[in-house]
Amino acid sequence: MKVNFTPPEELILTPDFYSSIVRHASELITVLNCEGIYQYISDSIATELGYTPEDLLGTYVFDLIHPDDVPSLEQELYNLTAGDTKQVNLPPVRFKAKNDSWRWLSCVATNMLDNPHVQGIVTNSRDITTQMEASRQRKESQAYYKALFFNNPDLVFTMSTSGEVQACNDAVVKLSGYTREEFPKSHFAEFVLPDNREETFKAFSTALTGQPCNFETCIRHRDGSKRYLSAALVPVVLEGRVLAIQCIAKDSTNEKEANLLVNAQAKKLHKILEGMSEGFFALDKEWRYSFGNTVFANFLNRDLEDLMDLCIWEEYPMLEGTLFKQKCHEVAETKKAVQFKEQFCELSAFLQFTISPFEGGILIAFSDITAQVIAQEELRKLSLVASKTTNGVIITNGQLEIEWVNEAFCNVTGYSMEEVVGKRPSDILTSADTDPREILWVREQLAKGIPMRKELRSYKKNGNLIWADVTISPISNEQGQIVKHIYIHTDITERKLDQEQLLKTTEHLYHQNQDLQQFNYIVSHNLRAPVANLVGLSSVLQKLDHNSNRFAKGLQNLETSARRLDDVISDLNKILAVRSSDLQAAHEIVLLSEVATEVAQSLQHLLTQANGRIVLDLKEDDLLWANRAFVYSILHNLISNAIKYKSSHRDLLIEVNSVRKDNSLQLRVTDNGSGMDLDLVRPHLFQLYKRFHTGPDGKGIGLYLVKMQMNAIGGKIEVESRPEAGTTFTLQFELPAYGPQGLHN
Amino acid sequence: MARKVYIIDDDDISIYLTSLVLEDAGFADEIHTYSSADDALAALSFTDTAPLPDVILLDLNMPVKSGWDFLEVLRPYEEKLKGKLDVFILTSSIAASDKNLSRNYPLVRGFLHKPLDEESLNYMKQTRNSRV
Repeated sequence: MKVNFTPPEELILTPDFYSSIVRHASELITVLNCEGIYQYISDSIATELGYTPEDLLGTYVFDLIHPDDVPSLEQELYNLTAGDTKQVNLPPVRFKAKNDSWRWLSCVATNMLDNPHVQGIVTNSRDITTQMEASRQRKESQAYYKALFFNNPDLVFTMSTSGEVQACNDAVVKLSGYTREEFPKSHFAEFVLPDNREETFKAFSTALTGQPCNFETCIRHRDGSKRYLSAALVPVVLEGRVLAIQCIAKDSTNEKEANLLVNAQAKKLHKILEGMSEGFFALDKEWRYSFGNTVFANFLNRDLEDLMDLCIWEEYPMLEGTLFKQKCHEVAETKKAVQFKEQFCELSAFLQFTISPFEGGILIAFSDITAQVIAQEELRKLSLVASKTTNGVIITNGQLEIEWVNEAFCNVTGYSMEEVVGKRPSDILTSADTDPREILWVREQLAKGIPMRKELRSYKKNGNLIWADVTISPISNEQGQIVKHIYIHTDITERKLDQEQLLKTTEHLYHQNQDLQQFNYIVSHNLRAPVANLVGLSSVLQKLDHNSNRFAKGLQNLETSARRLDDVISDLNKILAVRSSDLQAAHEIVLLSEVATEVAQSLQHLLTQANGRIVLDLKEDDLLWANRAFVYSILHNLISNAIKYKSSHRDLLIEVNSVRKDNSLQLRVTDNGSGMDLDLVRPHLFQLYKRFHTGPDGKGIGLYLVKMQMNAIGGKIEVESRPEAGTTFTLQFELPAYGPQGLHN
Repeated sequence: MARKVYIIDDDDISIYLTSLVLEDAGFADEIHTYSSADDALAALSFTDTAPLPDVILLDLNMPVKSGWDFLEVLRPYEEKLKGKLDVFILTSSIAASDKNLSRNYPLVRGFLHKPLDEESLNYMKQTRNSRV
């Protein structure tokens, strides 16, 4: 504000006028002589310091000044009197008031010693005690602030409202791993780990609204490691506006890490307890549940939370009188762990307990061994069966070595358990006579890991043969590896003998039946054909004139029919002869070349008639163990067939030769005759009364007899033939009829 | 009565006897005899114009081609021959199985046992007449 000050015209500037102004001005005006003695004091001294001007006139000014301020004031005044400067602003000094309190005065001193009207030093003073007090207080709070800020052991820093870190104390610098010089001027978010940023920004936003807040965060040390902070954000508010945000944070890394460790350990412990297959729970000293794992909760089918703090005996009155309750009390008293088993009929369970003491009560671990107990009982029964059964039982390990045999096995084989343990079943049950293929087969089956069953020859300790029905079952472990084999070795010798007898009987019956069928055929066809002719002719002849040609022809046919009937009967006789011959008893050593020569001679006239020749290529030692008559009959039949069915296109050639092959003798009869289409005739070739040529010769019995006689000798016959190319019959005489060392029986 | 009769049989005496009985009874105008099925088949002509026999007396048990084989050869012509040609099986067999088997062939009108006698002749006549 500008004031236009115009002195009144009638104002006369008299000495009284000045004196009045000086005396009543609010400023304290004094005049000191050159010794420092008060010469003049304005009236305002009364309001400022409580004195009257008279109180102080003639007083030495330094007597009223605070001793601490005296030296500097003396210097100032000296400078003023001795130097060129006529006026100085004195530093504030403390002045003793009338009531003995110290008042701060601000003085301007003016050297007016030279002024003849004054002749002294004029001081203009103002009481600035209030200001000085305020200033002191400000300094003090600044000191407090500084102390709080810079020397705080906690982290303290100030951020602008945009989040820039403006100032921080040494703790911040130190914790973040920087030196004061290196400490970056940056946004706080750069220190916060990404995972914690969201929460940190949230807290910062809260602080920006003027609300202080606490939160946990984690910052990055310069070396990359983590530092956990427990922080408080305090907004600095002035006149309702947030100027800045202050943060005070505590390094909680150790605490946090310890916490994490404790948590991790607790989790680990929990996992261990949860991972246990055993049920586990704890009771406190008042028998209340204080802990339980899931197995335990599942066993009781209860919720763990519900059970906690419930007294076990109240919750499960059925435990009254159990061994379990008795043992719980025992452990609580003796502080010694116990182990025991108990069956709970109400729960239909068999449990095994371990109860141990701990400072808060007792710990109970239990496992449900019901299945195990049942299995044990089962095992006990099974082992009873295995040891007492009448079948032999062998148990081997994975290497097929005997671990155990039962009584029955020992009884049947004559071995004792001690003798066989550690040996392989194949070592003790076989002999040199055992077919190696049989052993190989069993090994192969075992290698496949599948159960097998076979009737095997088995030998007792004394070498006697027994027939055994052997079942071998592999037993695998959970990984599928075979760890054991179980052999059931049943003596079936008697059954086997019965079976063999039965087979023989069956075979005999089969042949009998075949014969019967054969006879049926012969009777219905071949025997009846001539009979039918005989019947027909006899009836016709009766009607004919006895002297006619027709009668003579009829009579001739009657005779032919009768002869044919006789032939069939004679065939039947031959067949019966082969059938009824004792197959083995009639055998003798037969020199093949001798028999073949005889046959060739007997058929020589037919050969000559047919314009044919026969070549015998047989060795001197071609010997057979056979029925000689059969060998003769076979060769006779084959050679006469060859003559009968010669080709009309060429001269007949019959070759008889022998080949030795693998301890057997092959005899071949080959012709170049009319041959046969084997595709058509093969099914009927060796059957009785089957003929393959329409000519007059042949009754269809020759090859049937050959086949029967070969069977009786124990040989095989095969044929190869093509129409108009010839026929080869191959007779194979197998072992044991012929051996490399000659004949044996 | 029949115009033309074939006798197929490998047994010469049986052929002689059967011919004699047929002749005696005046059963046919012509009697042709064959000692094998193949010979008979060679004589048979299946063209429309060629004359066929009215009756065939067929033996079953013959070498190379049996009576059954002969009937199998005729199978494709069955429809054409039915009503024109009657086959009578004349066999020495007294096995029932053969008689049953013969029912599978529609051309077979009767199953006769050797020797051919009055009874069989009458049966043949009746069978042939019943068709007319």
